[in-house]
Amino acid sequence: MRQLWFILFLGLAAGSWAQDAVPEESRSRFCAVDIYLDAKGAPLAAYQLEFAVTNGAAKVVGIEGGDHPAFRDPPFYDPKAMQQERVVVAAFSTEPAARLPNGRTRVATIHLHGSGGAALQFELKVGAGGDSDGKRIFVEASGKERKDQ
Amino acid sequence: MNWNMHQPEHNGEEELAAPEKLVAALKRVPSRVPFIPPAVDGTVLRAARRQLAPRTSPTLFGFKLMRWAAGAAVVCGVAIVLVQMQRSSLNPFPGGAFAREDVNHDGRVDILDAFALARQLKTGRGAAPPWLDVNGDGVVDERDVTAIAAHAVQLPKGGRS
Repeated sequence: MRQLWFILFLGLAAGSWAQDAVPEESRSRFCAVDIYLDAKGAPLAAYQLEFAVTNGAAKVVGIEGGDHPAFRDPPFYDPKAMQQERVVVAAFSTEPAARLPNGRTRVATIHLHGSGGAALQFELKVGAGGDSDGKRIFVEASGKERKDQ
Repeated sequence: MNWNMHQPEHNGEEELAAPEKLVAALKRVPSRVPFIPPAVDGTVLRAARRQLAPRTSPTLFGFKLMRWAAGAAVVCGVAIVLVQMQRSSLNPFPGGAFAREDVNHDGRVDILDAFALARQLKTGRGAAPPWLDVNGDGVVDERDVTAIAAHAVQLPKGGRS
């Protein structure tokens, strides 16, 4: 009887170990990075920025527009960026200055597909920012990975 | 020819006397001039004339070559000027300093160029110049704005980091 219990224990333990032995590389996950721009009080009418995954942990699979009505539509991007690690996004709005964001606002969200257990690392570079008159302005970019996925 | 140096001079000058040994040696020299055929003589003469004649042909050839080179340079210069004039008629910026998509002429193509054209089309201040027909469909409209924006976000290396 004791031998039977021992065999049963070994079987359960083997099943548990087999679950733990799933390789890290086979793990697949989706994540999203919200892109925020802050025009520091100026009416943000146009922007262009580059997003890049720096550790190869994920690839771009989709791009979504922002919160503010002026940038709610998906921005311009190169379709070749899909399934790649880098993308340039840009958008503009011809709305008057009163209808444009002038503080920190989410302008886009980058959806990514990652494999492996490595934490996502990325960088943002602002290519251009413009106000409602078309003048170049300084904008501060930041990105935050969503935790609700 | 008479080699006798003792022959008296009658021109009033002092009479010269050669040494006996010299006179004897000169008398031993054969007085007959060797016969040279006229054909050989003529050949030697022609060869000497060819050798000693002034060399005018190479200089003349060099001068002709220089004239051809100068003419070709002038033709090339005129062709370059004509091409530049043709380009400047299509692109109003002297020297072609800006890309066609560089609407605001800041030296780079980005979303602000698309925005500038979109503003111009929206406000409708005057007709958009024909050189802003970026997609070449004969009209300047929203599709040109989209073409400029697409150019601005284009990835040069296909998206790889």
